[in-house]
Amino acid sequence: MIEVMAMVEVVALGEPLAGFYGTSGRPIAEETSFQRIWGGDTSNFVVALAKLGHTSGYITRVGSDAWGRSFMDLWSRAGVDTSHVVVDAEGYTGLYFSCSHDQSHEFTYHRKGSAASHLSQSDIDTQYVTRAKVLHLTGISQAISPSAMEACFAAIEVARDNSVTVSYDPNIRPGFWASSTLRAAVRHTILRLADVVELTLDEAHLLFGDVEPVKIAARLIDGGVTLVAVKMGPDGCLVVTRDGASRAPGVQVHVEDTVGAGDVFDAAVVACLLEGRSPDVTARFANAAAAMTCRGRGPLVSQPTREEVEHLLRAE
Amino acid sequence: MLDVVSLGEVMVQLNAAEPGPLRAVRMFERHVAGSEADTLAGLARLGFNASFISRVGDDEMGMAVLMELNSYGVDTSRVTVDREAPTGVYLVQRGYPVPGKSKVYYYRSGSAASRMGPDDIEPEWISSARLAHVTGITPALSQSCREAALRLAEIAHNNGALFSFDTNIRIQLLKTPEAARRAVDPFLAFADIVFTGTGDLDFLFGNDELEHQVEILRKLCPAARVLVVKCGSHGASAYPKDGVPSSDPGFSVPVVDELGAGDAFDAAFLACILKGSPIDEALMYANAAGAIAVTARGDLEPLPTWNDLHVFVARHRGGRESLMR
Repeated sequence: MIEVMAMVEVVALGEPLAGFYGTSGRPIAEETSFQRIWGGDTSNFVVALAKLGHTSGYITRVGSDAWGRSFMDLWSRAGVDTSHVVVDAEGYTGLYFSCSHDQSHEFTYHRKGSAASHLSQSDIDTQYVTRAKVLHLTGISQAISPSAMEACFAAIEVARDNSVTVSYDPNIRPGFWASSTLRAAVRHTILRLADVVELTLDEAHLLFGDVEPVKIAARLIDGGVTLVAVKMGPDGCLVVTRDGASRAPGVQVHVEDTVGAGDVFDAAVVACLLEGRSPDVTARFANAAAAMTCRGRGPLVSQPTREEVEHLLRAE
Repeated sequence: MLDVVSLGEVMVQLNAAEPGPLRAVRMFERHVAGSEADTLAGLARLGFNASFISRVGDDEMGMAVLMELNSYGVDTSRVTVDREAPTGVYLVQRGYPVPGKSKVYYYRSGSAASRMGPDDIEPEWISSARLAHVTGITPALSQSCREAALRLAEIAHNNGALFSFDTNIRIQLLKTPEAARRAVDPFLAFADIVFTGTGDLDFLFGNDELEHQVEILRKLCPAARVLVVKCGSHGASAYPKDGVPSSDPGFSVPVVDELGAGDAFDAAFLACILKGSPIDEALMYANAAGAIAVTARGDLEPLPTWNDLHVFVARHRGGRESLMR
């Protein structure tokens, strides 16, 4: 029997999470009403990429619980390839709580020992990664568990050995930054392994000092990174390659919720990469896509299609 | 001066805002619940000094849980904040697939409470308590929790306090009847008051006539002054050591969420026993408390005061329609 393996342009590796968002703006400990959304940075990424018209696949593990099944449905409906999602009968799908009040976001996670925490090297299908054009993962993917961290490095190795572009977003969360292992992994990945790096201005400063982002990007480019995209929230973004730097100013949209905007930004950058777009176009496109995501509550609700992004860009 | 002490896990409960399968539910209400904690809160509502021994995570949910229990008057000074493990969380799916029944999905494995052990108990602190209460959930959480619960039972026994035990079988934690028996038998041996339910009896002793099951149970509870069997909407029966069994038919109410009813029942029954009420009255008020508890979401919120119980009973059994307002 000939097994036909799914082939996708982009493979992502990480953990999906059911997110419970406080609805009344109180701190988490006082909040009593929560809206459940589907989250997890890499899950948001693969769904966004599909919405922007590219094929994406997800290497992950979920529980055979209500959330795991819902995610499978969600990804199938979105056109994300789930051939490499393992449904773990014994495991559970992680969840997190989030409240935003006073302009800040509070997160608390329940993901220890989740199905995704059992991700390991053996989950990395060499052929699946080799046949893709881009591998995307994040600092959170590495932080899930020690075995997941190994899986990330294994996947990166396969990608690098087979000319698959490695796209990496450190996605630093305060909770895991205390770990020296993680800090080292993040730095190593950015400085030595990644081809495309997407990060926020705050992350850039945290990692490389309080220096202008253009300088940080230049340093990374010198070290071998092909594209650096610096996310600056309402101030727009900066995209730097060997050919130069492009700055896109912030886009005016009604901001309901910024969570997940960064993941859409990353997806948009990767989409532009696949399409061979210039840094200029990439900066404006990714910027607009991320801004539009902020219109709705939760990371998936307002993820734009390509047409919607282009419409916004034309209107500008 | 402590009246009642208990040991167990209290968790954050995310209760579906509407009935239906969880995957289709968007909105959830956060409540705080845990069998022993519920019963303590019920007793606190009825005027008793109740203290809870437990652990919660060093997280926002842990804080939420403590704040909530405090607001019900439960002493949480002996709840330790554990830096290494999270506070347990669980989800409630209501009315699906069986209308009127709730299903729970636990996120509690490896929780702070599961790491409790005998050293979490301070014998001096609980020495004045007149009653110690534990349910079959706690020994099922982990070996260390089992040991902690046993220690509590021992200390209570040595102090001459009453030890009350509710079998409270959770099949998600105790997968087989053998495991359930191993979990509950040591506690049944110590218990002065035993609570159980028809579902628990079937699981422990196989489907059989209630009277036969009660006989088997009696033999396992040599110290028990009374066995109480809860039959859900059909009320409850009490089997005193000396004396005739008695029953109360319960109350018919619309069911919003049946979780917590058993714990509310236990609280009211124990409250009556501590006040020296006759068993018939204890059964009636216990049934009333259980009935009130199913009419609202959340385990703690509907816990009644004495006045609530009196009004409820008068309304349902008073004969004439009295004015409510």
